Amino acid sequence: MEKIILSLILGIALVWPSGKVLAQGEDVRSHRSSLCSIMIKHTEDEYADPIEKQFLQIPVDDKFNDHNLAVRVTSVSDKDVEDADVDGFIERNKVASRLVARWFNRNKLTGECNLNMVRSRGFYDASAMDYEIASRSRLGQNIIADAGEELIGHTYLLMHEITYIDKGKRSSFWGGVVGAALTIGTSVAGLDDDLASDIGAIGNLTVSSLKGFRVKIHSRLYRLVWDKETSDLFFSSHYWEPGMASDGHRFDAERDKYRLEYVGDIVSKGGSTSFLGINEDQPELMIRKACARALEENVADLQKEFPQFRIKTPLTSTAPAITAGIGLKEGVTAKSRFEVLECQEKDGVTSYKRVGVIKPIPNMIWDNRFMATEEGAETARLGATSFTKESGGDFYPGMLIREM
Amino acid sequence: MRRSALILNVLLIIVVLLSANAAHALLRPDCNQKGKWGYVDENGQIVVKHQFTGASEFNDGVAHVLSGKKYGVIDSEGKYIIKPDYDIISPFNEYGLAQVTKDNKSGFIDKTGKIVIPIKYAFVGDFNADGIVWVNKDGKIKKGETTVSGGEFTLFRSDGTNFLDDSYRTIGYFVPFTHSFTTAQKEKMTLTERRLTEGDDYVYWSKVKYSFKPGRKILFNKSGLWASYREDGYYNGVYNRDGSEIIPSGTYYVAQYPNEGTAIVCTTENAYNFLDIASGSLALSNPLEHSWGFKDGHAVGKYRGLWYIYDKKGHQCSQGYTYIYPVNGGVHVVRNGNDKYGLITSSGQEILPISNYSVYPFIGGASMVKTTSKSKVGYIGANGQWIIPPTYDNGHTFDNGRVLVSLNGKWGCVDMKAKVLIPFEFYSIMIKSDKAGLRYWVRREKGANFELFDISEGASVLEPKYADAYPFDQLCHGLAKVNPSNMKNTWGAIDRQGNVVIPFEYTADLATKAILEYKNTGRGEWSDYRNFMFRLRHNNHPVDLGSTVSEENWDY
Repeated sequence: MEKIILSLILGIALVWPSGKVLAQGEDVRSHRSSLCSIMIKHTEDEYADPIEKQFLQIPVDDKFNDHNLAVRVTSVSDKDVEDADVDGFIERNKVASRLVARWFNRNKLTGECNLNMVRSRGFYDASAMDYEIASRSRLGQNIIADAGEELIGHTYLLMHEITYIDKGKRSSFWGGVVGAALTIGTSVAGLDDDLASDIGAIGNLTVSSLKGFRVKIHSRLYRLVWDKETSDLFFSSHYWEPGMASDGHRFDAERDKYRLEYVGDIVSKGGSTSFLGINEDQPELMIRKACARALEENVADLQKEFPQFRIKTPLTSTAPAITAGIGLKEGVTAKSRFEVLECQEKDGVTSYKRVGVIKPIPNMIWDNRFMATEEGAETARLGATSFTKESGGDFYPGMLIREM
Repeated sequence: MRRSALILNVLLIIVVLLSANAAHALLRPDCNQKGKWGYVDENGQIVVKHQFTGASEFNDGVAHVLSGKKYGVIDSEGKYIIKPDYDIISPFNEYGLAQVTKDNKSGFIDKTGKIVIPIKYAFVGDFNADGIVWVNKDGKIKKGETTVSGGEFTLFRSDGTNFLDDSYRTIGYFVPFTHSFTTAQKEKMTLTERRLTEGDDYVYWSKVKYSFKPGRKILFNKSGLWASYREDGYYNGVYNRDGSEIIPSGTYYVAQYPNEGTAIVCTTENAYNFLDIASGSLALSNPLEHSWGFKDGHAVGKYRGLWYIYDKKGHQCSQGYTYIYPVNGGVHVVRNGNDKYGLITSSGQEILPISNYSVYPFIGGASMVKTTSKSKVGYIGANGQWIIPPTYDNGHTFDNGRVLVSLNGKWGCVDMKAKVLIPFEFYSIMIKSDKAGLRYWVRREKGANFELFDISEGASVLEPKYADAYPFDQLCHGLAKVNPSNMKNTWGAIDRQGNVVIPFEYTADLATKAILEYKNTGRGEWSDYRNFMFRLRHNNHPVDLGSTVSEENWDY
């Protein structure tokens, strides 16, 4: 079946006949971007190891598809990281090709690929998709192109350079005493050995010693280049299934034909994170919370700065209130404005038309940041942000919104 | 002045940090050639005149500045919100308060400069998650120590109101998740050290460890209640987390957390009584020498050298014993003298009269009993009758209606009717079986490999091929982690038929992770590729940013 793709892709053209292919029960495809995150660790930092450990435990934001690779952390020692260093790492290690390989579940040992991930992330109905592709229909051609534009073309790499902001240096300016704290040390009776080893080489961490823990995160954003030329190359030369005539390992020899383009970067503000919600038995959560909050902040800022990185979120309800499952984590403020999009599809090709504008109700912005509930944040309980209509006609649940 | 400028020039952070408030996002501290600090915008234009001895970055719309030797707080226009009147001002915390110090006295102010907690304390703490802070008046850090002691401690809320109506010689810390009563006694408390560094004009803090000696305890339990007490008499109280009183302080020498509406309290040292919380009345006209908590309406207490079972009204429900061991399965082992034992129920009813028998804890529905020190071992049930008369050389406790016992140097397994389930043929039997209680790892001789005995088959079903093994079902239903004898320190997992499910390629720890991943990802075949991907995910091989990572470390 997939062999047919080779001939289909060559000379493909977008057309707009009627009909659509959607998975059962899916009214609207709210395609999520796919994200790969890699940490750059400064090994000379006092808290380098605990930060790395906690970074690896931060879950992938549910607004993105997890597109992580096996290599999650790289390290530098006692050196300023330049953009060229990061670019060099990406290029030397052919990271772009690995992101592509992941899209097609490419078995590294055999070279075998499949379309399973494309199907599931694109909400394409499996049987219909295969049928249309197999029958060489225009619909099938459109599906491939649509998948490329909507999905694979929205694959991003974030290189997060995380450094610890030395509290001692900060506090020395203040005259030293940030506060004399009375807390329970980690070497308490009954403390698990596992927990003790979790703390790492730092020694006896306590919540209090980590209060005000700050990290600075310099995030560099890259986007996987997936244009027609790249798509043609992959499907004609590198996509392989058993039984196909081509060489399943040709991809390995031509990995450098895939690339990532630099989009931009952002540096977190380095604000302090409240220790509220941190269990005294798990002081390392303070590090995780500080890192997670800084990462959330960077992602939100990058989305504001770079439209292509913005997510589209579906409205979860429109009556009695207009709500959507985004909030402080995505950088929503009382001044944010969102366009409401109607998704139009014809023969597997997606397009979006603005049908209105909404804005958040100021005291109804959901606090969905990492550990907001544990922190006791008042709006953590909302579960969604509520909006008022600024312009436009009737909305219905499932329509997508995107920050303007 | 020069000295301060020198210190600040060495210590100040030259920043590119942004303020959280968009209005101040572009202001940064800037030092001119005369060593004076002010603020400039992103274009380098002066927004706040260079006039300060020191200046911090903006945070939440305010910045701390040093004018001469005093600290103040300014807004983005350079106007003082808090005049430079303090020797120390800490950053504002999540409650909008900053600790300040003036003339060696500390307190807290809010962002308007209003004094919320008086500036009269020798030492102050950090606010905890409940918005409570400790303060200390007239205490000291003794020479050679690094903790605050002496003086008087008390607690404030973040709104400046007193949390306690009294002051204490020692105090506990309010934590979001509290610990049990008994472990609280062993916990170490950490206090900060306030120390002046020689030659510096400021103080800094550091964390130190400190153990409370027995008798100076901070008590709190799983429900989040706490009790503190005064060192001069232990007159502690019990409070809810919101500060409301359950047992008033200053009344009892010791007060334990109530259980089932009754708390054990001490009116004086070693004078235990039962306090009915609802009525506030004490049950015992003659206090006990010792007691521990109520369970199922009864407590154990010591009176005139003997231990008894008591009900909540203070009635003795049993005869007196030399000692009553903690209850297990609703049954206490009791002892008279040094070597006479018996069994009673938790309400004090006799199950097994005191005798020369050695009686072991009542677990799994029976107590192991030896009639003499050299006699055989049998098992007695909750009715005081022999379930299994003294028959064996040694034994363990019952579990799932089965018990491992030994005879003539060999171990086997019997049920509650003494029916042999595993014959007495083995040098050792692993205590923990699979979940069904049917499959046990056994060894025939000392140093021999493990084989698997299946009670339902009445025979060994897996040959002795394993140097070490874990029980089936422990990590994943149907699997056991094993180390084959011909592969030193190499682990994998097998199913009950002995088929290899997770290959023997891992350390013990990694094998555990592999089994858990196998379980959590829906099982399925552990193919070569899956094995490859699993290894990659658990590969701790360091990767340098300047390097080319070898292909074996990439999954795609």
